[in-house]
Amino acid sequence: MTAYLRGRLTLVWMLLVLVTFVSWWLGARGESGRLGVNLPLTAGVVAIALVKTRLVFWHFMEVRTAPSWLRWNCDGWLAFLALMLFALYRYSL
Amino acid sequence: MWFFVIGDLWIFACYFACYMRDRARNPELFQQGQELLSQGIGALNTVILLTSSLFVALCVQATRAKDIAVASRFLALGSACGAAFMLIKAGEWYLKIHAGFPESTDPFFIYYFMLTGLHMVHVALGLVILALLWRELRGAKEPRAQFAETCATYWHMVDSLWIAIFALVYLVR
Amino acid sequence: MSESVWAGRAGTPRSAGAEARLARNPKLDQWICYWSIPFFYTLFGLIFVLFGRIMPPPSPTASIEDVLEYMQAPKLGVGMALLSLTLGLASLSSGVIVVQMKRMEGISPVLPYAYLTALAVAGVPGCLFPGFVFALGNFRPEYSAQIQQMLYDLGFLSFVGSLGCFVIQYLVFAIAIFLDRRMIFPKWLGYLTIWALVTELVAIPIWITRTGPFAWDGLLSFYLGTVLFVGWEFCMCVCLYRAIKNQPVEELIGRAAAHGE
Repeated sequence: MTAYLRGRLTLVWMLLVLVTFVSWWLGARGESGRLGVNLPLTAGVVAIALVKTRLVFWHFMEVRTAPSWLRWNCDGWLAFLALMLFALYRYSL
Repeated sequence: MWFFVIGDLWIFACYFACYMRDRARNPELFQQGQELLSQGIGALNTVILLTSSLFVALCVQATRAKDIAVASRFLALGSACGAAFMLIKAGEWYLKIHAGFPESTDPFFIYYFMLTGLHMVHVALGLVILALLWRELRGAKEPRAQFAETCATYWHMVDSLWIAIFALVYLVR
Repeated sequence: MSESVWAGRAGTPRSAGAEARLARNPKLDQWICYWSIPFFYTLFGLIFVLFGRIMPPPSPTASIEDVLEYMQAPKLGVGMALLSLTLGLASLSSGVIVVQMKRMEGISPVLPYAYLTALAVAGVPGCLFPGFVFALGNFRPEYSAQIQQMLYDLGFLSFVGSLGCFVIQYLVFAIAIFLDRRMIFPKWLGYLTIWALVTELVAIPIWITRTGPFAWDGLLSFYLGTVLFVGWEFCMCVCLYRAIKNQPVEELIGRAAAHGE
């Protein structure tokens, strides 16, 4: 069993957990600016979430070795989500 | 299964979009609501689900290597994490409901319960799917690696959705 | 019990006329029921969109004058009367779907009946009851404004809020598709069914909130679920067409022979 645990996936997991703590720390620390909004914090948190999701897609879901249409689809969804979320947030304020 | 995953991701993308737009229109209200949430519990749940994803991914690797005993162990660990996630979430909900809300039609809390509730439904479905995989691993003479991959794909999707929900509902400001 | 309308009673041989009809178009009963589906949904569209203006729904926060104007519209009454007469057509479509479900192998025999019952139960608060509620308000203009408001609220809450009732129907259908070894319906329809299920669950908060995306006229509680439902129904029609078309005639005749002769 330990043989499996010593692989690439565990490394990815450690990275994911680390990044989770970073984003938690960011979220807890950041002061709410004017009107309780902190754009850089939001951008940071959303970006981290997207990176984490990409890691999950790429390694856990094995999109890394998937046909190109799937890779494009996943990256496309992530990029779209990033742009849309940030744009909506920024321009609805 | 990827067909389903992609569709589900787009459906949740719609929910996230509406959430962000509404949040931007009511920053103080959403902020007030968010402060009542425990980011720590959210982070804990994130780590639990990430860990369960790791175990499920390792289970798939073991199944491919025909190492069924090890695969079953990983699957059991992964499912246990998934069940733990649900228990903690249920506890969190209970505490929130007991504490009452600032306002009965508070949009933040409607989003909170709907997003996490929908996600919980997905987790519950995921546990059923993992149980089916367990049956395959224990029962079939030659457990199919492809079936394991299909089940794992669903589970990882559930994990990624939570990553997004944690960021948007618990952390974003 | 015979599967085909051409089987006749057990023990009695088929007449020459029936034999000829069987040879020409053995699935006529299923096709009639099948084509009732687009007919029904066209009617549904007329009733709910054109006559009743129930879809898309007006706002939960409409002023009392708007509410009264809505409830007293003459077309609403016509639409609801038409609804009470024609809603039963839905039973033809669920009947033919169940016949196809019964062809599935590897599923519990309970599932087709569960589907039938779930749809029947869900259709009452989903269609019939709001129809009656709106009709009541429409045909009794002497009721006070407050009562009309209540009927307005009740009609929409029932119409949109009963989306959750359809969840069990979808769940049963999806489970049947995934367990079916014969692939009568394709797996992607099962996935679509799960999406429909998920988006309908989002209708839950309409009881709590009157504005925003979770109100009965909201983007998430109404529009997303409804758009997905329309897509699902369309795909369902396509898959059902293929299922009936691909059903081997021997299946009908074989059973008929076993029971009729």
